Amino acid sequence: MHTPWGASHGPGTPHGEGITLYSTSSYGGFFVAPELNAKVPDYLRAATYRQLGEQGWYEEDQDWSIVAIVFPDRFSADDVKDAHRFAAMRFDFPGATNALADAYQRWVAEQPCDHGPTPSCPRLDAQAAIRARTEAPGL
Amino acid sequence: MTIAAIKDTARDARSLALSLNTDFANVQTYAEQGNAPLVDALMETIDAKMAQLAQYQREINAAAGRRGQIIEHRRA
Repeated sequence: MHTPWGASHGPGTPHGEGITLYSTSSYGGFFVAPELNAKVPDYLRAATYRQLGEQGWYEEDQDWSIVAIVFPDRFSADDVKDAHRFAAMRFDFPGATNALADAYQRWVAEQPCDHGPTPSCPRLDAQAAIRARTEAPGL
Repeated sequence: MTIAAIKDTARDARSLALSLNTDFANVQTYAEQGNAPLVDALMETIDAKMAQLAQYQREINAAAGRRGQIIEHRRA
């Protein structure tokens, strides 16, 4: 498989049908098949590194979190929780007033909280953790 | 601020710094495309993230300094 980062080592690691993690000698990331990639909000695809999300590629350092929050049933509960915390810092960081933050807030507000075997809501957990710290009184 | 809070702040700072890497890469892409409005919009985001990053740095510095004083006090 040819990836944006070179030839992949082997067939990759499937995360269910249509989502595969590829590694190369230099880097790696997820490929999301077109029919699934169409479910990723446009502005999140456009926010990916070099807009690679438009072609279904999501690099492994941070864009992976977009795949995990849009397709939570393909990842562990811990991974989904980490992805929400990461995405909250990236798109909904404290003091954010930009259009991307607004769009992200609207989108996540529409998502169900039942993201797996645990009863907690990763999105709300991540936001609460950040809010609790940023609103904590002094040192 | 507790050590646990410092750890959380440092994690959030790392996430924010990592996202700046992508933001700057996309500024470069938008500039190559000649898309000035998107460059402007993304630079506003980058400005806000840089300010937040500086705030995290101040919080960690202050917390680390305070803990250092406590340790010195206990040793005295």
